[in-house]
Amino acid sequence: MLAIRLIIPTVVLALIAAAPAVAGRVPMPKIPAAKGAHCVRPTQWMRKNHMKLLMQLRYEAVHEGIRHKRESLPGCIACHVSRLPDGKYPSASSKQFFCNACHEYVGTRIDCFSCHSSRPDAAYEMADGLRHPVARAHQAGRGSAAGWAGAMALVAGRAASSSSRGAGRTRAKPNQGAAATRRERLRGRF
Amino acid sequence: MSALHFREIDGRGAGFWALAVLLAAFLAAGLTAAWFMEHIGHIITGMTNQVVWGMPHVFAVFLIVAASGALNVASIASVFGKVAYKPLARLSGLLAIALLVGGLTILVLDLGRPGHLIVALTHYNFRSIFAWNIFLYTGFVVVSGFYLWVMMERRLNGYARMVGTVAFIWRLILTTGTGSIFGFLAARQPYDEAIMAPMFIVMSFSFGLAVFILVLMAACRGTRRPLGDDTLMRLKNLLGVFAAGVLYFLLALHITKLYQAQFAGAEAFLLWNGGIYTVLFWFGAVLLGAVVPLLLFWLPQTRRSRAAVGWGAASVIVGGLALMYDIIIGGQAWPLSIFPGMRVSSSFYDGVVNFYAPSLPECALGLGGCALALLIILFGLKLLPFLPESLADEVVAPRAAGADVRAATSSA
Amino acid sequence: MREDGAADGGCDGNRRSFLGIAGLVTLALAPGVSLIAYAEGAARKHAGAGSQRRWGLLIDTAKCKESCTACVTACSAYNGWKNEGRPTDAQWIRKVQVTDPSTGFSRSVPLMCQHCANAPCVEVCPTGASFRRADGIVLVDRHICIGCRFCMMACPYKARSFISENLSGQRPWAPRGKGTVEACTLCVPRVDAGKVPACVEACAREGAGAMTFGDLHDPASDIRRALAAYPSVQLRADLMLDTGVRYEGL
Repeated sequence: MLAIRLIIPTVVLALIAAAPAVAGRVPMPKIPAAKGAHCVRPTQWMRKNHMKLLMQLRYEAVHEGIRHKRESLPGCIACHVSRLPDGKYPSASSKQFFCNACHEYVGTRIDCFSCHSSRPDAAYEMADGLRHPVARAHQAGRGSAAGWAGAMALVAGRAASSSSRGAGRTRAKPNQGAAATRRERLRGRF
Repeated sequence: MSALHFREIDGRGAGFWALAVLLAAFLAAGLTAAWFMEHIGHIITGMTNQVVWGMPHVFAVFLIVAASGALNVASIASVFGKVAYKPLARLSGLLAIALLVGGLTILVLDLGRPGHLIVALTHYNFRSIFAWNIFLYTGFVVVSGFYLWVMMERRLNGYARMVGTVAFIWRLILTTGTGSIFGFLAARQPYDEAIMAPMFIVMSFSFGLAVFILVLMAACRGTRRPLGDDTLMRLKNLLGVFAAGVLYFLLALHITKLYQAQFAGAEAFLLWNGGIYTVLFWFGAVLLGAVVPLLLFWLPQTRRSRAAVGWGAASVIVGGLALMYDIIIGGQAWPLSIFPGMRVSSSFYDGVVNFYAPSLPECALGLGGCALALLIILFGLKLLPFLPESLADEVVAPRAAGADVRAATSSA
Repeated sequence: MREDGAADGGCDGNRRSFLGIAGLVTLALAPGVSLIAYAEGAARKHAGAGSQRRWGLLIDTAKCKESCTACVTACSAYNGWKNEGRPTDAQWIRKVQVTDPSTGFSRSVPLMCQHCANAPCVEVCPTGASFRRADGIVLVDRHICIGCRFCMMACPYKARSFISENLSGQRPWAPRGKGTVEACTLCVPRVDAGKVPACVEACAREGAGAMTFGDLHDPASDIRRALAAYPSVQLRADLMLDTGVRYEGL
């Protein structure tokens, strides 16, 4: 993972520098469309910093037990991985898989999906597991992920203003009533 | 008095290249096995959730233990001032590095996630003896390399004793660390004894010297360099003492365990009714590892025989591997005592002797590591002057006859 | 489970100070953000595993029936492991039949990671992948597990399994994969969500209700009251590991 953290920025920088030459030969990645209206952070910020966010979320979830439903790897998968025309989900190693579109373009490899599920899962989607009283109070009480973005921006060494604007939008929670009913049904599964 | 000259071996003959190709083939087989183990998984080995360390660990621990022991010959020369061992000191350093690199390679390639190795170099848990061993092993290679440099660079010869002392202490700590991997395991009845650490040190003396003797004999024969009887018999006598030492430690370990009722089952398994493990203990560790070499070395009929020295050293190595198998695999085959005194059964093999059968890939990996060590020795001898042109008695003896201690800090 | 208010105050100091600094720095950059960041720091101390709690499990072996495997089935279903009877298959929880050979007294015992306070697996792990959360749950961080299996050698309960082949179809909440070691997590995603582990729920629903899950530090919790009222044991108590899982009736 450390290697990934170091390699990706280097490769991205190198590609930016060599962009005119490279763009002519390697086709630009076709990024599969996401289901949601917007990401948990501004798209431009995510393009450069998603790995930092994932590392931070990973540490928090595994070591500190701080789990978010949307801001998590399964949350990313739920939104970014869709069925192909043939009705199947793309395999984590295929080009049609969301992560691979860019990673192949920049020549990066990840091994997340030898352990993590690479498909959206209805049980995860509908489970209320991550919205227990503590998490709910904590989600309602904060300005969504904006403060987070502030901390992340510090890590990334960039101005936080753009991040906060985008992240603020994640406050909207769609369709809570219907989800609650479905959650009730699946309670036993999560 | 003939001068002592170190010179590279020619390494141009058919024999040299035939040996190199043979070893390279073993190494290639080992690397292929490791590739399959990583891509398919440990399912292709005999290792299971019951016997979690297998054949690769038998070879790896043997090589690592032998590596620290191989350095002893140099230590005897520079730390304890025995001039007769001086001509052998460089080869001893080369063997130490080569055997350790071979053993470490096996360990690393056996990991479930060799690709995560960078993690092992960036995250440390200093309560773990494994984490300490990462430093002890890599440090050993560095210290031994530095020691070799000091011995081989005439202007630095004066520091040989100082650096040699550091290397000697380092290797004692290293083998203590290796023995403690098992000695610290309170969970498993066959381990969990402080005696494991000193026992591993004596094992290292024995296995390391046995490997050293065989390499020395093979190198001298292959290059037609004279190897004096005095030198060989001196090494032989030392090996006999070490082999007897291992036997003593095994005796002390098992008598301690036998004395306590709680270990009766485990001891009966290892020493009496444990099938292959009992056979390996008595016929491997005891008979081949100690009794046969002692007879070969000291019976009047064979005590002056050079062949007997070679066979004795080989016997120590085979016995040593058997002992490693017995300790590592046998120790895991005996079930955990989670409910002491109770009869237990479950779907997870509780209460039953665990089955283990080594598979081809893991044996290939183990042998590949040994081949790597020998390849390093082979090409080390070709590239740098590790071996004297002559180890004939008249070259070694006048020097040995002189004041040992006085000479210790001077010429190499 | 407790309400969130009770979890107050035991947060990681570094995190809070880090977020405080983050707040101060961003104050200079973007005043609006810094306030939110500060509020975020305050809100976050409610979440996460804190040392004010220690999760534990009490198993009443007198109630546990030999024929019942509800806990094992539920664990397997929730966490996605499968025992097909091979010695390489993972088993996060198993039923062990324990019989005293001299008296014939026999009990069926569910056995899993004992979540020791002084866990040998945590001590021996070279990378720190094997770790104990602040609330006592012993876990493997598989991102930094190198698959050396020393923890499996050190565990006195044989609680851990190594994954020997490629897997697919993992549960989103229970990632697991080849080359790493795993064990009972006390269903940590469920616990973090304020629920009880799957085995405990299944035991109450389909079994005899032999398992009690709760906070060992809370004198008012069911588990503490039961532990105070009836005799219980730790397995391999001689090793002084201070296990989080206790047994009654053994």
